[in-house]
Amino acid sequence: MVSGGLGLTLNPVVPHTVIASFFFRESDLSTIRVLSVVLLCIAGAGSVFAQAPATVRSPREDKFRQLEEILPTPNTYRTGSGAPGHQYWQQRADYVIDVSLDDDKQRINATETITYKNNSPDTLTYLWLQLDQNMLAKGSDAQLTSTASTLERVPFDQVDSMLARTTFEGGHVIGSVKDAKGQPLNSTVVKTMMRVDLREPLVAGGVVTFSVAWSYNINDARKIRSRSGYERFEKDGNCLYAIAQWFPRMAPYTDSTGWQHKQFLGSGEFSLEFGDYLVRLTVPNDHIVAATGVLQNPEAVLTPTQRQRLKQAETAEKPVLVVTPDEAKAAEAAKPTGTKTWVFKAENVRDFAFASSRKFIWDARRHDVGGNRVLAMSFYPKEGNPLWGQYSTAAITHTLDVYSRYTFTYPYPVAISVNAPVGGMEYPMICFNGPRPEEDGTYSARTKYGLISVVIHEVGHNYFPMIVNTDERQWTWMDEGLNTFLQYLSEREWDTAYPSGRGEPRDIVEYMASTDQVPIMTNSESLLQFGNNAYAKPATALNILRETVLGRDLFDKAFKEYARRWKFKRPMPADFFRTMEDASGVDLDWFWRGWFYTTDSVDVSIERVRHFTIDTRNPDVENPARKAEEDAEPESLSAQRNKALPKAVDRDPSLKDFYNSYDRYAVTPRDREAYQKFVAGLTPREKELLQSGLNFYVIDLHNIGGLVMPVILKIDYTDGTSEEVRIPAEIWRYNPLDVSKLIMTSKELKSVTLDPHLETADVDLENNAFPRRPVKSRFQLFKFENRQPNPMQLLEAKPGAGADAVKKP
Amino acid sequence: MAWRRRFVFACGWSAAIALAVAASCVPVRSATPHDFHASLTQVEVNRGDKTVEIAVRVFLDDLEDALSRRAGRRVRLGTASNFDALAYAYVMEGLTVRTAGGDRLRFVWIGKEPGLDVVWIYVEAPLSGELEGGTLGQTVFCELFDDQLNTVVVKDGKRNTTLTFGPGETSKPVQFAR
Repeated sequence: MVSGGLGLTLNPVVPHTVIASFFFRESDLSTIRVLSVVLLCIAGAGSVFAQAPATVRSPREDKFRQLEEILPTPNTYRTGSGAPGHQYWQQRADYVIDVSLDDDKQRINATETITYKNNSPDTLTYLWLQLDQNMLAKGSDAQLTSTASTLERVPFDQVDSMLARTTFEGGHVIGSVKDAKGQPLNSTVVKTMMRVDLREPLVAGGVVTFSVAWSYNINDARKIRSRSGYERFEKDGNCLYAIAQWFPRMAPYTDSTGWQHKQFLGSGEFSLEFGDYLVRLTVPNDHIVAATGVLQNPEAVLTPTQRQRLKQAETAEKPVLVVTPDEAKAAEAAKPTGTKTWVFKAENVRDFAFASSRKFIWDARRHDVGGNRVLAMSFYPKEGNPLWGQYSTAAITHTLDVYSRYTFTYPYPVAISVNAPVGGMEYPMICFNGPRPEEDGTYSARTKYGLISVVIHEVGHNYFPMIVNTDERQWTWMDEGLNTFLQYLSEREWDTAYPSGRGEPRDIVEYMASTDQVPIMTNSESLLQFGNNAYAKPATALNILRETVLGRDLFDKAFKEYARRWKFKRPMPADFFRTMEDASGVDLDWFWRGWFYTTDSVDVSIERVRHFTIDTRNPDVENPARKAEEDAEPESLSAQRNKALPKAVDRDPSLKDFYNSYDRYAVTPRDREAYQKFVAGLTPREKELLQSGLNFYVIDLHNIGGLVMPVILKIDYTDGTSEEVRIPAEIWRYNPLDVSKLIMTSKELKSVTLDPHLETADVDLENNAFPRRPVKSRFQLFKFENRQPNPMQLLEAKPGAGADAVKKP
Repeated sequence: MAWRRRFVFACGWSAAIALAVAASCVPVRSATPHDFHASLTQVEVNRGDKTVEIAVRVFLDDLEDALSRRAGRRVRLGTASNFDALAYAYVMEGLTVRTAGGDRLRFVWIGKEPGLDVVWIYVEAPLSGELEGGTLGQTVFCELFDDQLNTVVVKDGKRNTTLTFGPGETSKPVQFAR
């Protein structure tokens, strides 16, 4: 530890790198002052100064404190590396379901047989099933706990919608719960969950089979917003059904949670078990059905022409119309003459959804993903065209290509996108997406990109959480955040100019700057600002991790490893955090801690830049330089005015003595002798350094936002050149508030810019430059670049009126 | 104007349905990229120009939805000729800024800036008093969505504060963090 009169303390540097004692002079780039002695540490341009101890006496938060105290202790099920342990287990539930869709009453009637395998080491005496439709039942917790809307200016159709919710007879009606022999089992419905008491305890490794019969009314999705429902098309009177969360599903039983039976309040989606499905769907015989899995009986439900087209699609490079718009239109005008039963099989999926309508146009094409032959298909009413025919299936195949590259090869045989009355919702192999063109067949760029983005997003959910089976009821970010991140990467590969809404650090700044937030690590049902918190922020964090912290190679390797390790398994947050570190070889605890466990933002300020040069100690160089500095000091006003006053020593020269002519900067022979002696004692290397003419710039950084991040500096020199210095976040490890960075250069510094590529989501750009550069706010940028006539002028159509003409609305 | 009649209708009914609504709104958030109801408002005091500058970011589909319901016809950005006027009237209804002296600021339209799925709306008012000690409210869309959350960031020089408005929250005091 070496210290000097500057008030700076040098970091501990290996002693032998301290080579000589030199004098430094400091200037703040405008004034130059001679300073007392400081020792030079030759540690490359990477030396870091900590502030003087006096300024940091208060207890500091250790931003790099390890996460072990927060993360669960590793065990034989989940290891400290983030991989599944050698005794990892998960339950399994296979389903055989017979369901009929009542198109007259918009109702589901069904029975299911569940075969439940207990792979846990525990004995179970009861099972829990999820009854999601009960969220729409009268008096559900979701309704009771929702808070009142503003009632001041509610439009009529909103009132209609509110009333529909209170009058709708929603919820599962459980007909029976029986064991394998057909004997009733005791069951208890607890809101959106149902407990089934087993006749015999289910021991480790045991299997139990039981059946449930139920029915429910399907919601009108336009009036009662949900993830599924039906849409009635007024013009032709037909319905389109998007059916999901429709059957009693096994709640997961896991090593980390036990039974995951946290009530469904509407936000925390699902936590489910893998299994095989055989589903027989009975629908009006003029309906076309899209579902999770592979159609088993095309000969019973498709016409010979449709079967032949489907066959053709299996080798087609472009989508083939299995049902054409004309055929769909003809079906709209006709009536069904009976029912048909469509049979689907799906292997190793966590859920099953389907869509059914006589309005469906159907296109399909083959797509090879990493050796897996996939049938990519879209189902949409004529109202979806022209957009759907052009973009839906194309977006599916694009998604499979990009996502598979970053994770694992898409393992399922089909990937389906259905145009349905929801914004967008994902299920295994199938998803429902809302965007449609205008009635006149035109569409805005927003609708077009909105459709492509939502198809990418929902098809992308096959990877997270359909295959990497995270617990959505607990952690929304684990699927939405990772998926939004991959959606962003996919959009970047669609078109250079693609208008991605989420992913770029600069797009999260407004949210990060606000203070009324909750951390990402907050339960799904308690999140404030769902979209920003669980989608945009984690997606942006991962993008920053990839581009700025780890680099693409390390990140991509680690991310892929996480996906590979947890494919068809159930990871928890710690498994993600640990795997990303395990595979990248980089301690990221500071990153998870800051971005996922706090609401801090990135706001680093360049407080000042201090300039030092080496004092050569040559009196013939230094003395004139100091005199010049002194002369350069501004003359005070009094001094200027006093100059012309007659002086006593001029009137009477006898008052003058030695000191009236003494020049304190004059070089004396003794000075020269001392200098020669000093130089003679230096080694050749030391002499070289003394004469190097190097500039030393100390850049003082202050952390206002709280998040520690890599420091990226662009340094511009007066000779027109510039360089970029990229410093890892560990620069903050001794002091998360204030650090200084030394830049040694033979050039003269002109300006410094922090985060020049806007890659850290720094919320205040005004303090990112030295010297300070004014940064216009969004408002000011707009105001001075886009002056527009005001809407009163537009409304009243007064031609030629200026923007300032009307001051009061 | 069609929306006014509906407005009156809704007002007349509001008391009667208040209880029912409180018990019936189901917050449903599906897994779409932007099927969440949120807005962001930046309020900044410009001491140089003696103005209050406001930028409001809303989802375009929410805004179109709101304007269409009021107009009783389909109002779309790019096709509706009086879109700005409707947007201005609607957004101004939900935004209230009162100074410490109790003055309600009157905002002048500056313009709008559409993105792909959001639109920024810019308005400005003369600074007739201090914001600190006054009140602020942002209830845009709260009459439509029971999960609407409006975030307002208020900045006055280096001082700032964030206010959040959910349904039912119409006004909050402005107090900068110390």
